[in-house]
Amino acid sequence: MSGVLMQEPVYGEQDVLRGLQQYEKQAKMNVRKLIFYPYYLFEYELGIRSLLKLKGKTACTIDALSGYGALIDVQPEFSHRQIEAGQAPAIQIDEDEAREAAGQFIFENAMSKTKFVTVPDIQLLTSTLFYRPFWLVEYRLEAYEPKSLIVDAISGSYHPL
Amino acid sequence: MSMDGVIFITYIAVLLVIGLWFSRKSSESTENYLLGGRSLGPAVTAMTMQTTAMSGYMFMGAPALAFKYGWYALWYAIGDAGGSIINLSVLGKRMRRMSELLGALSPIEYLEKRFESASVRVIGSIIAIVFLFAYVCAQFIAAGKAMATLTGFPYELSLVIGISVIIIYTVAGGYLAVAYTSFVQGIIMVTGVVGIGFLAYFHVGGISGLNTALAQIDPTYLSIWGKDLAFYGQWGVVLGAILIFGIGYMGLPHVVVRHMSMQSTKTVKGAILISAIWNQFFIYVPYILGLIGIILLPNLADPEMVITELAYTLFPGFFAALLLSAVMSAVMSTADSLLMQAGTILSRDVYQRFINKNASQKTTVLVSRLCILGGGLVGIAVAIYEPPSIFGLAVFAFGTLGNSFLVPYVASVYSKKANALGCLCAMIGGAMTNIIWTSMELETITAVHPFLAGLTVSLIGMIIGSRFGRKPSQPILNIFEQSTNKRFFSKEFDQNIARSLAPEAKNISSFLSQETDRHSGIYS
Repeated sequence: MSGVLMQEPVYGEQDVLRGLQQYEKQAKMNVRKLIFYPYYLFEYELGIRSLLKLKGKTACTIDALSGYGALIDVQPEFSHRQIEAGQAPAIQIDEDEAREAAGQFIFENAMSKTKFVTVPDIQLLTSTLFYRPFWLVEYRLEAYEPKSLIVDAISGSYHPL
Repeated sequence: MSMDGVIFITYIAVLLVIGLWFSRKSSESTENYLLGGRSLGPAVTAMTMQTTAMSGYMFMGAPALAFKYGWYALWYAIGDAGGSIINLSVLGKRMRRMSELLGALSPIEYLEKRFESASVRVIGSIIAIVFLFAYVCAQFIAAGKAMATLTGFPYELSLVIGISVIIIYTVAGGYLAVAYTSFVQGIIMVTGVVGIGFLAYFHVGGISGLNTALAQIDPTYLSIWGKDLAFYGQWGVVLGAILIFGIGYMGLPHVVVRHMSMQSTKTVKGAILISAIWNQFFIYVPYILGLIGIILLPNLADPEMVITELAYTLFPGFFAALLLSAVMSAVMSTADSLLMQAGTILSRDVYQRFINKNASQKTTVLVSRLCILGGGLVGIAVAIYEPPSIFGLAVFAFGTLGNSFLVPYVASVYSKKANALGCLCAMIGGAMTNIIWTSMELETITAVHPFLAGLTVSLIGMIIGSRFGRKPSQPILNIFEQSTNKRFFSKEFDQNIARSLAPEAKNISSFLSQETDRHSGIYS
């Protein structure tokens, strides 16, 4: 058991089942457990010297297993929680590697979105390791082998395994 | 300067103020992150996507083709509209399944992972970049023509002024400004094109009136083989026309940026739906306007100006100029987005990978900007000195992209033996054939569309290439087998799968199998 920072699920078990069943009425689904997926969160101060003098915060997450970056929209809220062994996959990217990937990711995105000649000024403000909850759902349809899905407990989006 | 020129300058200035105001507002917010996208909302996001899709080809190339060949031009529209259907029904299911299992986020990343070769990514990226530049040239020509109409200046001067104005405007505004101004532009263009469509449609007496009038001018305008039956019996040409857009899109690099929502939101899903409906509607309208142009503008010297001339004929001069300003601005916004993508890929996948592995961020940016500048200058030179038709360039660019990528995509899910060498042969062979076929005008001798010729060579390349080289690894063969299993999700359930979660799904799947192995180890 270890204490970590995590996002509290927005969608509970019943919400997830209700959400999935609106698209698929024939299948029987049941929630098996919560899995906590590790991400690094990097927050930056972004300044762009153009006519607009855009200045503000920007942030991204780096998937702590595969290193993919994702831009985020709002400041997330975290809480401390104990997670059991077997509830979270092991981290495969260390913080230094993730910081480098995040810097590159934010820089490329800022560059492509601000367009053409302005080079943005980017300063790292904070870095945090956190866990995001995913529901593991079993999906059963008569005459077929059962399948598993993950459902993001924050956004409600899902993906089969 | 003409009154229209003044309207154009005022238009750009108003857009800049709108962009400035919204950007200030966004950056004042302490909770929302810049670049995060949440503050835009579904309507703005949808309209931004829509205006990006509105290219010079749509406003000038497509109507010109219909003006020249009559109903035959609709073959291209059918392929364009049906492209997504082909993708979904033929290739889509298996490819999506395999993409999920490989954890790939973009089409080119998918090919790299399926064929286990970085060379596939590099060659694929280079082909995509070269033809993105060709497509940009088509946008430049369209922008120059729109600007010349607005200002009354010669085409060459208009081209340079147009490009300069838009570059200054995008540099000054940045992304947030561009997103909000795209919303305003989208509304003007949608209103304008729909307005022209309605007025012109009733003016000619609907589809029946249109066909009667076309038949009186020349009955072959109504033929599926083109005016004067130019393509009579040439199924190779027709098939090429249908396939070209539907498949060419798959070769576009799709620089995917993942967004992770930190609170529940349905912005993107709503936006994609709105955008898809508009796209289906807008594919046909420009072609129909081209046909209407044959009747209403019989003496039109440049067929690419059909929509512009119809706007001036049917609307007050003020609104026509406003519409043209929006078109010009959107065309250039599309062009610079394409250039930005091309520059980023070149600096990351070619320069950083092969020339300078330890390049700093600033050097990479410099290289990217130099590539954009170089590409832009070549584009301007081509647009000034050797301007091909917008339609011809768009078809060439999309045809070559389709020839490079269709066979590798199909083989990736239908052939176990398909390997990296086969993929490279198919991509290079297909692209080269289309280039040679088009430049030597072999279509007139062979009655075979360059796209179909490229497809044949690409297929041969895949079959022969896959007999040599490294065989696909066992994990790839396992994924191949898994992807052929019948997927039983309903259509609606399948459509709502969040593709961006593919890497997480792949990792959680391996984590769960490790856990299962560990437990069975403990209990055995």
